[in-house]
This record gives sequence, structure tokens and C-alpha cells, in this order.
Amino acid sequence: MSWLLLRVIGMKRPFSRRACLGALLGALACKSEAPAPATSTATPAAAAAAQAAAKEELVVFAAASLRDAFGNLKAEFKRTHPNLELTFNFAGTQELRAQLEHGAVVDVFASADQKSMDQLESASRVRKPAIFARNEPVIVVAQEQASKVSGLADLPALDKLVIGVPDVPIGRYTEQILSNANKTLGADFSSRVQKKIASRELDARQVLAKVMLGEADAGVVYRTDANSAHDKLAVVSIPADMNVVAEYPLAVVAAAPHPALAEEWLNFVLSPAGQELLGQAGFLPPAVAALQ
Amino acid sequence: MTALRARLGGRIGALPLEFELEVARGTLAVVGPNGAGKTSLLLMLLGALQPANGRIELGDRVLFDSDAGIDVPLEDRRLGYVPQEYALFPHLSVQDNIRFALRSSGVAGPELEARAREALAELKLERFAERRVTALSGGEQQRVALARALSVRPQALLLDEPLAAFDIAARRETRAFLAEYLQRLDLPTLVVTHDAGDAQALGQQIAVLEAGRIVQCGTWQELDARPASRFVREFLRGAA
Amino acid sequence: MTRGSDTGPGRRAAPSARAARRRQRVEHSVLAGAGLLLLAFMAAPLLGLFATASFRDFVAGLQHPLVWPALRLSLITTSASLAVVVALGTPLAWVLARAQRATRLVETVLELPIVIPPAVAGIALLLAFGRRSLLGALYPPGWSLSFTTSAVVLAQVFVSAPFFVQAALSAFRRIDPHLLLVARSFGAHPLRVFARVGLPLAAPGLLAGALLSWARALGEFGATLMFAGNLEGKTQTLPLAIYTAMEADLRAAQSLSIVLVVLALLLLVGVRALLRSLDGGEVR
Repeated sequence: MSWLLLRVIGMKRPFSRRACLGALLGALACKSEAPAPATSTATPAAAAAAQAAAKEELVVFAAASLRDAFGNLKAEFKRTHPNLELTFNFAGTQELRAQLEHGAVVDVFASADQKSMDQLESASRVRKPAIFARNEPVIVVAQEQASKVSGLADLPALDKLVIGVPDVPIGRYTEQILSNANKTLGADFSSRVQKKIASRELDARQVLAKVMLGEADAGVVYRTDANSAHDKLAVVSIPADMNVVAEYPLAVVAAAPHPALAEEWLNFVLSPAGQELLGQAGFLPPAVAALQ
Repeated sequence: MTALRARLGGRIGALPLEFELEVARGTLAVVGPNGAGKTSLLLMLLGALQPANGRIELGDRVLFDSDAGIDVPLEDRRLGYVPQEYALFPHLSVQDNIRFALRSSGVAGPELEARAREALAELKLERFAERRVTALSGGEQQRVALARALSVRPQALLLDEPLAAFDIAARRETRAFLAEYLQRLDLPTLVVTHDAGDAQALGQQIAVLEAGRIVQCGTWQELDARPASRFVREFLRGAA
Repeated sequence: MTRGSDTGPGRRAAPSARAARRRQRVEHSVLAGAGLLLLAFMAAPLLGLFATASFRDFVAGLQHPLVWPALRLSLITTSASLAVVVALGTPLAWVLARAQRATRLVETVLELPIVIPPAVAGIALLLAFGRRSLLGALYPPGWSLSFTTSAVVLAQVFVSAPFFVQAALSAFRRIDPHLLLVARSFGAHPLRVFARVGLPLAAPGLLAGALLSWARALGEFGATLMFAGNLEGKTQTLPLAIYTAMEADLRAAQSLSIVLVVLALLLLVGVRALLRSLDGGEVR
């Protein structure tokens, strides 16, 4: 239990312990704080050539749902940056935000929700966030029940549904989707679903696990989560007019020790090659307006 | 008159054991150095250790017979057992220790109370009846242990190092009491001790144990007059 | 060479005695310092928890809508799991304490839930008692153990039983075996030896073990979340409520934590006092 208590304190008062915690996290995230390589405004290729022998470092904090996609992106990025030491820290968006606020030394932050990024931006901790991907909630169905579900309307017929708790993004989106569905599926649709809810999980991965293990009949998770386990469950899309799509923003951290390289990573993620890899993991491209 | 007869073979660790003994009336003192197998012998008779082969008889009851496949459980052997340091129940008073024994043996109701009083009186423990056993002296504890063991009317008595807990001064007195009491008791009794002096005082018969076997058995005078080996002679000399 | 003999008279003994005393002091303070360091470290999070919250925060925490259902559920489930653990764990420990063979193996297996991460324990419980387990095939259609209050109790039993069994085992092992032999020599049968000799003599150890086990069950989080899920009033115990609140409002989570700690503290102190009065101050 003590770990829980530890987590709870240190998050209240802005000074003392907090600073220590931040410093500790910073030290963990970034092993050395050697000055950033002197990259000029030259093209990435030229910079890479100029620094052929030098070590490059980059620390990226990213929402847990990006783990697989960013892993692939890293492999691709390293082809043009052979000396790059790219360190990821994947965790829940809330947790990453808290670490950033406590002074963790980070170059890039990729969030799973706009709210966290907005808060960081208004505190001037990040610069110019951009939406780089969207993630769409889908219904996942345990294999035993796969034949019974072809859409949202079938959910109340199942016995055990699992969704996210309303305080986490996936849970918030699910509640919105259910109330959206009331318009077409009947005013009591949402309450009929609520009656079958067996558990409100603390993140999408937990929802996925319960459905994968067959304990829950169905749940709502992100498309990327569903893709990672598509052979162990059935995936049913939610009609676009009812769905609520999560937008993932990406930004260079204001205090980034390696801002130029961070900028390059950001551009790479938004480039056609980066978008291609994100698409393979199940992400949708950002809405057209956001790209501009 | 019941007699305790035993012929036992077995092995404790690397030590092979072989005993043959008979206690008809009075006390047999089994004496020997540490590690000679005294306690193992006692535990085999009690039923807490199983011998590899042999036979134990108590009167006309067969308690153990390896050939016939008889092994009467400890609970049904009706042997009074007083271990070293007495093993009084520390959470019970003196009379509750005795009541526990009686109730365990199947006695109940007014008879239980009568026999508990009788057992207390027998060893002059009436005024300690309500005391916690942890508050008693060593000699008093020994009397409680005897009273408790005898209250259930066993057919033989097994005592393990009954005097080991006493210093020299207290030992002399307690030894005299115990010798006198056991003589009066007229129950086949086996006393295990490492001390030749205890053996001389308590045993009408003495069996000397060496490395798992009885090397000589007889009265003190017999042993003293004709020790079977140098070991026996030197061991008996320790009593002086 | 004499090291700090206090009795040694004469001028030569004096400086060596002083040196020895000095050395003794240094050694004492090294030991005390090491102990204090750990004590301070253990106390810091608790102090932080209380020092950074006002009494008003605490009252506000008590009024949080998640608190009462979670508190009630925690008390009910931990009482049930404690009852199961004590009722079945005591005979198990008794048998193990007196068994000759295979106890090492059994003990090691019993200790495993202490070291495996609770979330893994939760998955293991699902694999054993879930819908897709061998046992699951016997469940009535549409029924399952997971997501029920019983699942909460089972998760708590799984993670907390080892604490009780270990304490009970060592309490039973401390009983002088001669006491048991003597009891049997009177004709006392196994159940009587267990109930009248084993239980009373091991009682303080059993109580301490029950307390430890109860505290572990009260704080149980990971296995419950995995095996029983998180539904208010049904499977959301206090630790799950705290974690849920943390997603929305750290202040509420802190207040809930204080409620949990105060509750645990009250019960620990209460049982300790009870234990002392039972002992009558005679033993220890």
C-alpha cells in the first residue's frame, strides 16, 4: 500500500518533496545531461553527417497506447540517425503529465488527450502542440459472444460489459458514445447498457484484458488496443455519427535539452512515412484542418 | 501385577538400537551417557517413535508387535509419561492440568472432580490447586506432573530425566522424595537418567546403556561388584 | 591484551577503558542511526499524507460519494476473507507444523502469493476460476465468479492467507512438543489436543497473524482489480476507490487514503490493546 501513499503525496504541494521527486525522475529518464550536440539549421541528413561519430540523445514521453507504433517509428527514424539514443517512457497520460510538471527532463511529449496537453501549454511547459493521430473507440467482443454482436445495439443483450471509469479518457468517450446512441437506439439505450456493466476499469488495457480472457462479454477500447489483440477477440466498429474520436497531440517540451532533434522527431511523426506506420498500428490520420 | 516387557530393534540416525528389558515391579533406571539412546527407548515404549521390529507387552496387553502388525496408538497405551521439565500446560492452573488429563482419559462429572481432588491430596498439592503452574518451584512442578500422570491411573510410568532441572542442593532433597514416592507407588516404572547417582537412588534395577544397547542390567550392588566392562565401571564411579 | 577492562586498576587501564567506552558509544550510535534512517523513511510518506491535508480535507474526503459504499464493502469483504483465512488456515498450519515430510515445498508454495505481483495473482485467479478455466466449464450458463463480491473475498484470501499461515505455523512450532505428547498420553484425541493445547498456546501468534493478514486484505488492490473488477458497491473496495478518485481528483484520493490509514490504525491499536488485556500482563 505504501507505494500508493507515496504516489498520493508529493503531488500536492508544489515545493520541497516535489522538486526532489522531479529531479529523481529526471535522472532516471535521462542518464546524462551532456550539452546537446550543436546541430545547426542544416537539413537532417547534413546534420546527421556532421555528427556522424557523435552520440545523439532524445527522450520521448508518450501515452501507453503509442508503445507499438512508436517502437516501429523509432526503428525507421534510426536509419537516418544511426548514433541516436532514443529513450521512451510510456505510461498513462496523466502520470506523464505529472512527471513533466515535477521537472522530468524530456524532449518530446505525446499525449493521448487534448486536455492534458492544453494544461501543459497554458503553463508554458510545451511549445506549439500539433495533433498527429486520432484513435477511434471500438467494441471488442469475447470470442464466445462474437456471433451475437454486430453493433452497439446488441450490447444490452449481453451479460457482462466492461468499460473505462468516467475519469479516464476511454471511459469518458464511452459515456459520450452511449448517450449519442440514445438518439437512434432509444432514449433508454444508455441505461440498459449501464445495467449490464460488470466493472469500470481504470484504463483501456484493463478493459481489453477482461474481454480477451473471456471474463467480460464485451467492452469499449481504442482501435489500436483492439488491433494488438485482434486474433483473440472480435472487433466491431462504432458508427461515425455516434463515435467520439480521441485526438493525440504532440509537442516539443519547452525545457527540452535537445530541441533541434526533438523538432526532427516531431516532423518525422507527421511525415508521410511516420503517418504510414501509425496507420498500420490502427491510428487514424489527424483531421485535415489540424494538419495545417 | 502388570509388567512392562519390551524387546526392540531400530535405528536412530546412524545409531543402531537394540533393547530388551522387563520392569515387573519397582523402578528400572536406564542410565547412560548422552546419545546412548535413552530417550529413543522411552519414546518407543511411549508410542511416539516406531521401532523397526520387536514387541512390547504391558501385562497381558500387547502394545506393539512388528510381526503381528500391532501398534497400539500412544493415546490408548495407558502409560504415564513425565518428560524432562515436566511439560505442564502453562495456560492452565494446577487443578486444571489434572482435570485436563482426567477429561482426556474419558472421566467426567462428579467422578472427575473427586479424582482430581484425590490426585491433589496424594501429592499434597491442595493449597496450590488454583495456582498457575508457571508460578511454582521445580519440586512443586514435579509433584504436579506426577499427580497429573497418575490421576488417569496408568499401568506403568515413564520418567525422562526427572531431576535434570535441579541444582545440587535441591536435587538431593527431590531425589529422596522421588525415590521414596516411587517405591510406595508399586507401579512398573522406568526412569531415564544420565546421572549414575540418580540411577542408584531411584532404581531397584539399573540398566546401563551404551551406544544403543544395554551392556549390563542388575541391582546397583551387582553392577558395582561385577561391572561387565570398563565403561560400566567408570560410569558407575560417576555416582560417588 | 585486555580490551577495556573496567575493573583493572592502575594508570595503564584508564586510557584503554576510556577508548573502549568511546568505541562503544560510536557503535551504539551507528546502530541507532541506521535504525532511525529506516524509521524516518517509513514515517515520511505517512507524515506527508497527513501533514499536507487539513482536517477539512479529511471531512471532505469522508463526504466523497465513493467513500461509504467502498468503506462498507471493504469492511464486509475483509471480515469474510479473514474468517475464511482463519477457519482454514489454522488447521493447515497445525498440520504443517507437525508434519514430517514435504513441508518445505508446501511452505514455499504458500509463500508465493507474498512475492508475486498482485496483478499477476489476479490473472492467475482468473485462469483458475474464470469462465475459461476448467472450473468455469461447470458454472451455470451466464454465471461467473469474476466481477462478484465473492471474487473480491477470494482475491483477498489469496493474497492475505500466507501472512496468517506463516504466523500460525511459527506459533504452533514454538509449542513444546512434549506438551502434545503428554496430552496424547492421557488419551486426548487429535481434535482435543488441537483445541485445548495447540490453540490456547498459539493464541497470541494466531492473533498477530490474523491482524497482519487482515491489514493485507484491507490494502489489497491489484488482484481485486484484475479478478473482481471495479464496480461501486459491489467490487469497489477502499483501495480501488482511492485509485479511481486519483484519476479525477488527487485531493479526494488523499482524503480517502487518510480514511483508510486512520481505519487501519484504529483497528491495529484496538487489537493490540485487546491482546495485552488477554495476556493479563503476565506473559510479555
